Amino acid sequence: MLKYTLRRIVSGTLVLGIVSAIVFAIFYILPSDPARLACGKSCTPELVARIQVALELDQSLPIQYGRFIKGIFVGRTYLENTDAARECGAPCLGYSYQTDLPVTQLLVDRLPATLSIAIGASILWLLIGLSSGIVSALRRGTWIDRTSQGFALAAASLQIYFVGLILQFIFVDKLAWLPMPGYTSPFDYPLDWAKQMVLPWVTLAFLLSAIYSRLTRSGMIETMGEDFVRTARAKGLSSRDINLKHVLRAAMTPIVTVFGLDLGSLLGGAVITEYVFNIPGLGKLSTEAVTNLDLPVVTGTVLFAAFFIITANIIVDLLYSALDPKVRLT
Amino acid sequence: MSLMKKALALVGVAALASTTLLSVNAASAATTFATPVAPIKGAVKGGTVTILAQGDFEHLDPARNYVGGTLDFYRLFTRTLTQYRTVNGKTDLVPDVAADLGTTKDGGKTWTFKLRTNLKYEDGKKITCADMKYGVMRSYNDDILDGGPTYAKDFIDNPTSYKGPYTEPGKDLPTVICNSKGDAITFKLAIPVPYFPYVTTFGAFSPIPKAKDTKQNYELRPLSSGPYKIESYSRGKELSLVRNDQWDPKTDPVRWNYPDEYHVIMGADQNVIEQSLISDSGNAKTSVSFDTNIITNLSKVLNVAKYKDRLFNFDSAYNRYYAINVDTVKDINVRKAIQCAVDFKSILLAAGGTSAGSYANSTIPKSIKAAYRNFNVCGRDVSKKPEAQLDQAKAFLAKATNPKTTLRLAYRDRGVEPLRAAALEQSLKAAGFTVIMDKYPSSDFYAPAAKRGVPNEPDIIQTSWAFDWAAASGIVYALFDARTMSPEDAKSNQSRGDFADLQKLFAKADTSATAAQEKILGDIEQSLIVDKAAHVSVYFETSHYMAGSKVGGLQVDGGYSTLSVLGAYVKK
Amino acid sequence: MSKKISSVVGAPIEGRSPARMAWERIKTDRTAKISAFTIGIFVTLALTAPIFTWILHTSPDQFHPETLDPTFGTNPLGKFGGISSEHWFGVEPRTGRDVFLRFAYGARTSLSIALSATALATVIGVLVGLISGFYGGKIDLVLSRTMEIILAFPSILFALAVTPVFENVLEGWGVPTGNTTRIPVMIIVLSMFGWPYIARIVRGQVISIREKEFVEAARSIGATRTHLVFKEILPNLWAPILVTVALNIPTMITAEAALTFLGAGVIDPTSDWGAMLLASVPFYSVDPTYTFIPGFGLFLLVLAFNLLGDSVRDALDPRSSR
Repeated sequence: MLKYTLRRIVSGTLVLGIVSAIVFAIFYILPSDPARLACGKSCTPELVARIQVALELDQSLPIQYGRFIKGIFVGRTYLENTDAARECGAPCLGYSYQTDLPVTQLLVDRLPATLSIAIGASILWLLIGLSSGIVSALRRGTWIDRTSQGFALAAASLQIYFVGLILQFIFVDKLAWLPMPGYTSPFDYPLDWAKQMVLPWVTLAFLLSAIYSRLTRSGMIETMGEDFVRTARAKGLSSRDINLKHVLRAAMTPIVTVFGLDLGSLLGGAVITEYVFNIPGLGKLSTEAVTNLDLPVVTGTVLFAAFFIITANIIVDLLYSALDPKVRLT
Repeated sequence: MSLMKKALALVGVAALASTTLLSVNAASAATTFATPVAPIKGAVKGGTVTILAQGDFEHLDPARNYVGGTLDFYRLFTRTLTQYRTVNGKTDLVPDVAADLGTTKDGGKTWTFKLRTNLKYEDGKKITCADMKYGVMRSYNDDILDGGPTYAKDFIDNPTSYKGPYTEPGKDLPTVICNSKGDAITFKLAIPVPYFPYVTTFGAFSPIPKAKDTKQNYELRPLSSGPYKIESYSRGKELSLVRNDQWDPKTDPVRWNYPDEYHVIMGADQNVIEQSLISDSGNAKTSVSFDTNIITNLSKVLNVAKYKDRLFNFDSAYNRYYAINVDTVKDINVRKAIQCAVDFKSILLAAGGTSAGSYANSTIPKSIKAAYRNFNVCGRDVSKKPEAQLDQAKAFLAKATNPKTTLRLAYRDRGVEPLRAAALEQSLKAAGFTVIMDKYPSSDFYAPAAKRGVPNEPDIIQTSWAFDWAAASGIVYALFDARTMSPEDAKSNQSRGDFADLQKLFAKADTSATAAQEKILGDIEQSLIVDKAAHVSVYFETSHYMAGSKVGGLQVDGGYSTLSVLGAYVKK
Repeated sequence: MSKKISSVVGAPIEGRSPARMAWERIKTDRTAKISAFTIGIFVTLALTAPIFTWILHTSPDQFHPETLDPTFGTNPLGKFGGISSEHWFGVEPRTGRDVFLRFAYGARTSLSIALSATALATVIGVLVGLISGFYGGKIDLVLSRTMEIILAFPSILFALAVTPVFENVLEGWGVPTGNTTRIPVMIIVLSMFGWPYIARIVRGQVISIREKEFVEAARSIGATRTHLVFKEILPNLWAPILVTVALNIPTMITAEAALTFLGAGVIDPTSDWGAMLLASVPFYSVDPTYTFIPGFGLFLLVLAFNLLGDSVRDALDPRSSR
């Protein structure tokens, strides 16, 4: 188990390394001139030159990439041995062109809002998705099953930016039950925080629970037909025990996979949700950075998000063994 | 005289209010300056006033601050030589760091201001005349301290070509003089400026101790001389002001100090701020925004009894206009065709309709009576017939000897500006033009659009202007005087006009007394619009600002034509 | 009912291909028929959009200031966003542009970008999947890892971020700015993240059939690799490919709208559903109709494609239960 864990971590780190190289290549090598791209319309040659130096684009590519990677792991000093020398501690992802703040700090600042969305929404969608899926599976073919699966199918075809606006229109504008969504620190104003997060949570959960409901249902129906369940039933175990202990557990494997990936990508920034509900999280940070062509922030958010996705993948793989005894780790 | 103003309309410009301005009186010595300022009725101390802002302040460095809402806000921690005071809807010019409104014995070429001697910074140190002088001197380094108005540099005589303390450390600016007792400061100007005490309201005339000057970083933590000081400032995110216990209300004729804190939260979108203020829930109850005009949701709140007390409606000084580039659109008939093709109606609708602005034939507002001319544009009164005059446009185009039917329209990607440009595109197309839409990023428009002789130079520039004092001299010199331009850069003269007859009039205006000068400047603008067809003014903007139900003491500031937070308090 | 049975009974027994059987199944599936009909309506609308320009005497870009409240340009005159006999879906706030025409032309843009991206992703995905599955070994390792890495990218975020970079590259080659670069970039970006899903499925299928007898037989009589891949293996893959494509189209439509919604899509005045939704955001409260129309249209189309995809899958593989 330990060996497997280590191997997954090593391979995950490798993938992250490759991702970072690709990100670096796309943003720093591919553009005909990254400094020009970052400089805007009224760009003067002097300004381009300044950005080039500040970005150390005058160095060779391997050196640039080397420093980029070195910055992430041990920190780096920009413009070493000059007056403008600037210490950037690990993990260093550079400085924003827009605000001149360290990208790492920007990411850390924006993380709580994204965490708030991701955690709240994921609890909600798991609850809704699993329970409706279980009910559907146990009452297969009844009207409850058909209604809930119909809902799930419809929800899977809806868009956050559409549902979000409609819900906001109903609950904020018309009924005035909720304040405008946004982000307040849960430590300062826990009640405001929760109230403002309700819409993002519900919207995300509404759309995402559909997949979980369908997965739970089909997973359970499939396992219910399998030999070991029949054996358990023959042994005289109560159907409640069987359903919860064996069937659900076996059906969990694909759900854990999807959940891990969903949560992982959500943690990297719920781009559209944050955009629609104006929540200053990582997703908003990245869309703003793209609009302003703030390359260090763009690369920082992409890498950060990839980190979450890859980590989620590793955790999912490890959880497999715990959930499904049939999966053997080699 | 040459008003080498920075391309002013830059981000949204400080302005003396159009309608209220005429009521800004330089309170004469006879009327007392009422120090301290009279308390606001019903105001109570305590609580936090939250300010919702779409983005960060451009600059809090007094020398670089040039934006209406920020000019109001920074007064909470910055005192200037003179300042505007608004009480009960009446705005006066009052001495702030100064003890009087200045005296001149030579018709405005030399100005002397007495100074208050009992003022302190937040660190307890005394504010000195030398600090006032240093504040002016550092504004000469506008290569580093960019963004601000350049009046100090423009008006004060500079015999030694002083370039600022960063460029020339140790060098003096001999035309700004502190007396031996240090209780009076004298400015020797290059030209007579009768309205100089208005100019000294700008931040270049605020005290900064040389030892505390951190150059371009000063804006991150300016030293307070006002009732509040900066507790924390995270660029693009938030700023907190707390009380400055070194400030003495007895010395201040402008400011109140009701809330314990001011908290600025930055980065929400226009619509989000509109919605939160309207919903008035939670934090929004004690909030106000100084950069968010209610536009999209206006129909839900304007003239609705429920919002009456929270909605502040007033005329802003912003004139939205189109500059027609005479360098590239050489044929007068083509320019006239463009002028006739402008559909005032669809442009104003794109901006929000008549609730959001009023049609204007001229960039000089009606309120500047000495210079305003009630002329027709394309043969009709635009306020009565705002629709495009397509037949006339086509007729002019047919008459053109040097027809140019493909036009490049430059506009900024901000708020409703792309939609306004699209509205113009439509009517230009209907008149027979082909339009190339050239969208510029929000933060980077005025300077590149003013570049002359470059590839893809725009033919029409969608831009705006707000005057810095209510006189044609605050408009016409900057927008139409060819002397402000260079062969590469049109600066704020976006239409790039250089007409011999008009330049003669400018020369005449330079040496005329104020009233006569205003009249000549009015003639120049009329000629530039009617005869030269180089400019199309479309409308003046109307402001609608909203506050939460728990915020009191807000008033429309006549000095900056904005909703002032100086007297804000949290209702119990 | 009885008629049908008798006709079956009466007919001579004939061998039916799996494709024929699937087709028969789909034909009797009511959901599939309704979905196909809905998709047909949208496609027709997209194809015939110019006809409506002629019927309605206006264009999708034409401003109609007369349809707006002169005091509040944000409010179309009349109920439900200004729906009238001239403007079937109302008009756009601030401009008065006809929403029906923008919707119809938007369907054109959205569908053509999504379908092009699906086609490109399918071609790449099938080729890579075939090669990866057929050759195995190192080639497979490299290609599989590539897919894994692409799937590790935060796709929306990355797509958003690379758009200006790719545009910059195209501009560097002298392609004029605007939609001429934007649309190809969108197709490339969307397919870049779409192909690994298809490739993975194809690869799995290839592995499962490459050792089957008929392939072995062809190999033993000396068939070339190209022949094996394209004549023996590929024809047996059309069912899973079809299912994947059917389920990929709605994903692409959604992704295209999301990208446009976030501002990396087609540039106004060209219409697009994502762009319409983006433009409607400020007005959702004063003119909800304007948000509802593109949002609901998108929902219907995606739902129809999803349902049809499910039906196709069920028809091709009757064991899979919905």
